[in-house]
Amino acid sequence: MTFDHNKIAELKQYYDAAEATLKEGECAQNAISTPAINELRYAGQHLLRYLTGSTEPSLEPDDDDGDDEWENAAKHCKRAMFDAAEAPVQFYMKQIRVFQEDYRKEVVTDVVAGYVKMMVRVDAINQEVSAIAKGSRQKFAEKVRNHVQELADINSQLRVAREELNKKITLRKKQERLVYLGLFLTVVGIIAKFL
Amino acid sequence: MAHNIVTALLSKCVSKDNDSLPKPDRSRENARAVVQSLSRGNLSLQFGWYVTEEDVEEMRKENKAHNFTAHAH
Repeated sequence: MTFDHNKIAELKQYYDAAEATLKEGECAQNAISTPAINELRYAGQHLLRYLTGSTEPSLEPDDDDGDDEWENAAKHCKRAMFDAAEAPVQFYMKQIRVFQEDYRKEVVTDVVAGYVKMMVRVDAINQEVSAIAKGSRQKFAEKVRNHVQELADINSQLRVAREELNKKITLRKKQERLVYLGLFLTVVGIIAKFL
Repeated sequence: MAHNIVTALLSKCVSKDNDSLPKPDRSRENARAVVQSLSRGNLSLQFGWYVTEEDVEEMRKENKAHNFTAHAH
């Protein structure tokens, strides 16, 4: 059985890119993406079918699209890259949502420079990723992968800002307590005057 | 009437058989425990640190519905 060494080398590049993205995502979220692992499993299956010239029907239901085994292996590697990148992208957006919920009563723009601009960017990424149809994920793998670092940077700035925002909240609560104490003493004073 | 009695008796027999078999635990916690026990060489999997398609889908839905700019102040 002969096979094209150039094609194998090309497939190795896709596989390595998917594996690198998977590793980056694993470090970013402290968790590994099982959808990406599954895609690499299918890629492995198609690679072996390509190498052995197997003509058995594929076990993967989405593969009945006329592509040959090499093309299917490449497709699964690219899907793996997408899945490996999408998981941390969604995770970081979730972290940003949590940040907004935690500080919904605070003026974050006083502490984080360019906060609104950052959120406009997050919205743009959110819409772009949401619009990607399930069937065309492999085409957008590289694009989604590029968003991971950007969202990681935004998330990291917000994490640092938490300390400053927490200080502001503590100071505001102290001031509120003093105001309530003052009001209480005033009322007590007025009542005492009339007694 | 006879048909209803037979159906009721049969359903009781079936439910008795099902009661004797342990029901599979399909909770996420158990799924994580199973993956942990089967994985070798991957620390994340062994520690149960992995994200499923369900987890990503949940985040996808919640993030899609959120307006980040509107909540920026």
